[in-house]
Amino acid sequence: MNLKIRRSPQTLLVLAEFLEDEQAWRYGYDMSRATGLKSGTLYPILMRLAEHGLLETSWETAVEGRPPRHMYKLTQDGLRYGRAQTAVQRVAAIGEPAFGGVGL
Amino acid sequence: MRPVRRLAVRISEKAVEKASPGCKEWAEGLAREIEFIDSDWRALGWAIGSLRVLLRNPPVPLRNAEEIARAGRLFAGNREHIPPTILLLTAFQLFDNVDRLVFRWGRMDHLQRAGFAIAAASAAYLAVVGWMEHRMGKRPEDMDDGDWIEFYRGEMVRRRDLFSGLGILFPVAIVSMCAGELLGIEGSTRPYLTVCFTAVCMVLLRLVSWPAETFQRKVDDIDRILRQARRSV
Repeated sequence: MNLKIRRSPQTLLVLAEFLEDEQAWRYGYDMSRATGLKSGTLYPILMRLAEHGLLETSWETAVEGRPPRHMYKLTQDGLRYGRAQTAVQRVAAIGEPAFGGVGL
Repeated sequence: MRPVRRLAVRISEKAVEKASPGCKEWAEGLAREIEFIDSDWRALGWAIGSLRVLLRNPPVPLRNAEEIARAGRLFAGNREHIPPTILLLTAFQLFDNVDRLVFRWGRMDHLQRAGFAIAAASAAYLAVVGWMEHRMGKRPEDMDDGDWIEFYRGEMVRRRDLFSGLGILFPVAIVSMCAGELLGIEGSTRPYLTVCFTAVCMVLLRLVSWPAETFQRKVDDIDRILRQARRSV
């Protein structure tokens, strides 16, 4: 998949968090707590993913006395992209020399 | 409600109010989360972060036929009320550069002449493409969603064709106009500055979506939604 999404560590963090439970709808604040990202960092990433058709959004059905919340879930393309990106990250991490390449 | 939380709610309401149509839903989503944040100070931090959404101006999301029709109406409304910005800016640049070339020709060195000539040619090209981009087909008279969908798809196809034909060099022309201006300034470092600037821009151009790709994506979205709608009927 040739997508022009910046593969920042924060984006990978968000993708990895969605992959923890692939079918679950996630809330913004819960995602923020799980990833440690602030709203000003998290939401532009979510918006970018949605713009590329990798993330679907939905409004929670309203429950009395509680406002409906905006929910997010990776699409099938998003799941494929997320798995590929996190795999690339894992391979890169394995390939990195221990102790920053300093010979012991 | 305590003052800090009241301020958080006020900020997030303002963000919803000021968000662009493509961001409205996201700003509302951010605002709703405030109720679920226990700490007032954390809620305030969340609300301040939500202001960043205002910096983005993504296209209006297209998920069903009604949203395509809505995007069509919004597009037509914007075209009628917003002046042709690209055309006006580049026409000004063209006028400015031609003015310099004509009235200061004798006082400029070869590099400056070349710089302003490149900037003028790029501005002329951008003005023509900007004018063609701003033109709009006949907007539907009635309120029928079907007509608006057809209108919007037609406009997106026309822009895709423009930017994959005559306007294909649009992003490059923006770079060359700026590079020309840079070459026109006085000082011995300008050739190096111009080369560095152009090289950086060319790298950046590879990272951004070109206009034809953006419009093609929109046409694909519309076709996909219409296909799904036809299948469900």
